[in-house]
Amino acid sequence: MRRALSILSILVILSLLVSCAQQPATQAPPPQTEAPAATEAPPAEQPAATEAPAATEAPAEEELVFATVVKSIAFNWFKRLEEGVLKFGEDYKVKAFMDGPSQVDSAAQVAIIENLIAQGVDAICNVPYGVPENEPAQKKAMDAGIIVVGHEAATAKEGTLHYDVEAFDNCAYGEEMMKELASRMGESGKYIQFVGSLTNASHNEWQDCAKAYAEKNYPNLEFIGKYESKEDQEVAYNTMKDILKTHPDIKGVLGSAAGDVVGAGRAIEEAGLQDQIAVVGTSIPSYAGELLKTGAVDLAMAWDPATAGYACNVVAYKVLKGEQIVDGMDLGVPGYEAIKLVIGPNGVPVIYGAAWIKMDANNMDDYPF
Amino acid sequence: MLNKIVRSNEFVIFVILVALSLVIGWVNPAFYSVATLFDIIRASIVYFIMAYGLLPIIIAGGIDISFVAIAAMSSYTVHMFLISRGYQGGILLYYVLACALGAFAGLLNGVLVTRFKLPVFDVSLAAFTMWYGFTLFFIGATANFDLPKGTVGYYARFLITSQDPNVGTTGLHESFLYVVVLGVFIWWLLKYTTLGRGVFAMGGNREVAIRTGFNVNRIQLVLFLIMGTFSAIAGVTQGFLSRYFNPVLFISQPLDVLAAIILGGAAITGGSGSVIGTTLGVLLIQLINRALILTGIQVEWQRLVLGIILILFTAIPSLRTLRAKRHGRAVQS
Repeated sequence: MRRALSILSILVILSLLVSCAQQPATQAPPPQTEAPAATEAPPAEQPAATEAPAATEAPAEEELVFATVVKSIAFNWFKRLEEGVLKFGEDYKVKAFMDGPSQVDSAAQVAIIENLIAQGVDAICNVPYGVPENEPAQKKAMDAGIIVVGHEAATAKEGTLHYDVEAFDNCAYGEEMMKELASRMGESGKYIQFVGSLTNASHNEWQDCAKAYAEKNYPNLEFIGKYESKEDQEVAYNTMKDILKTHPDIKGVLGSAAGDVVGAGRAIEEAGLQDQIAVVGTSIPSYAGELLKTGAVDLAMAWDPATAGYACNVVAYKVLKGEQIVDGMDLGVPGYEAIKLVIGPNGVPVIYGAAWIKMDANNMDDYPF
Repeated sequence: MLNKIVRSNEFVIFVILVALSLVIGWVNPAFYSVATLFDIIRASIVYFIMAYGLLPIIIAGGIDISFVAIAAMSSYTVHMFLISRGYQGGILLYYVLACALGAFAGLLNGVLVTRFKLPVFDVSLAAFTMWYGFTLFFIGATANFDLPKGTVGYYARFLITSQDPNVGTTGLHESFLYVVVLGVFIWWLLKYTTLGRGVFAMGGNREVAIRTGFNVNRIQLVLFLIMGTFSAIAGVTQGFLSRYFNPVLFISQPLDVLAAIILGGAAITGGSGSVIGTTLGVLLIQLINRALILTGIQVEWQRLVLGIILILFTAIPSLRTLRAKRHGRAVQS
């Protein structure tokens, strides 16, 4: 009996250990093209404040109504997106507002869309939490004559969106990061990459495209490896320290998760190497601000949800007015001056901007998020 | 006496630790430096503290994973509270307030376990989810980088410093003292107090422990109190070491700590375990994690290699235990 028990306990231990080696992906829920996860901060006290301003007032005959539905209104990320939506409303003289569930939940989001259909809005810009779950509601809205444009929904099925708007093509973003890094490294030397996890689709797409671009254009750059930060700055910090020991002549670091460049930058700063090593990666000033100032992190790249929200509504407006959306056209939004139009993996036409923003010590104060 | 030491679990882990260090140093001579030692200790500090807090609960026959959530909740809540009040003082108040919160959260586990006779693991699973949820919903969901003025620079307060040609100045961080104090405390508690003997008795056979006259409920309450307090200390220490406070601190790390304790010779069914073994276990996990970077193994291989190493390393002590049993020898506890 005891023996059976001890064998059983060994099995349990082993399975525990193996599963601990697999690093549960518990941290950041947001799907693919989502921004640095932690920027979506629910200040929990402000839930339904913005909810349904249009629910009560019937839209005036002549005034167009543009609704933007997001995953949850409780995230700072979408608070910032709302600024873009409201600005669009002012600029285009239409009634534009944002709505969404107080907690991320596809069912609640679908209910809001159904409600908007019943109200007869003119256009909906939807940022779906679960793309497939939102498709039937989007189709229903289209059938009711409403213009439906998606954001962060490039994988939607054909016929469930008029268009989808993305801040940028992941591959182009990775290449842009590489260009910035290479120019800071004098186009030669060893570099490494960090990804949040090897299973994060967008992180890996950025970095793989960056690497491919370097191989083609910068023959003197030497790729050392792609390391996992496990979405944890402390892991990035410790990893960077070990890399400095293993490769003392390292010259460049690319980061993917918002904390990657922060962790790596701290290790570099403590080693006094901020002038020898270039650090470029996705991050935001509230994370990397201090290190951007000291130069330990050279450049933080991200995208601004406000312009994405603005662009999404502009597309809806143009479709509503019967304007043709064509490859290379200018939406009149920063970063969307020469859009790329392609058919998404499941048939929805996808509009890509080049709407990345670059933040360094000089301009970081312009981006308070 | 010597024979007993050589046969102990701790000794096997120690030998493995040395062997692994030799292999890493052979592949990458840069490994042999005082700075490396200090770096590994620095990365281990919070794990030592959490593991020491958890060890008595494991010995008493329970498995808890909520300690990480308590660490996150207590440190983040105290930080956000003090920052909102414009606190600019030192680090001590952080520890005092966080320990109080941590002790409360630990006691809550303890009360649920003793009063309602619930399994330790079930309660901890619920507490794990609840405290992270509580922090995210009521306190905040973004990492906070504003530190009070009185605590700036804490991350670089070293007891001894060392210059490394590659990574600059590193040192033995001040908080290593907490590790020593807390480790000695747990060692003393387990070895020289009635309560400590009761912990082993409970883990060996709870029914017998009760009949012998141990107040198992009181013992469990004390253990959870200790666990909560230690977790809070670990949470605050991590916050200042990494210079930011994180609402989901350690969320993916409970198994690392459990694995360290078990590698260190504690039985998951209770009744055995030691502070020295746990210390070596934490170091071993840290070393395995870093070995892969230091030896330049491709990251795609890391997990596979890590899994294999862990299986091998757990199998060795277990095989010894099995063999010892077959030979009819008493298993050293």
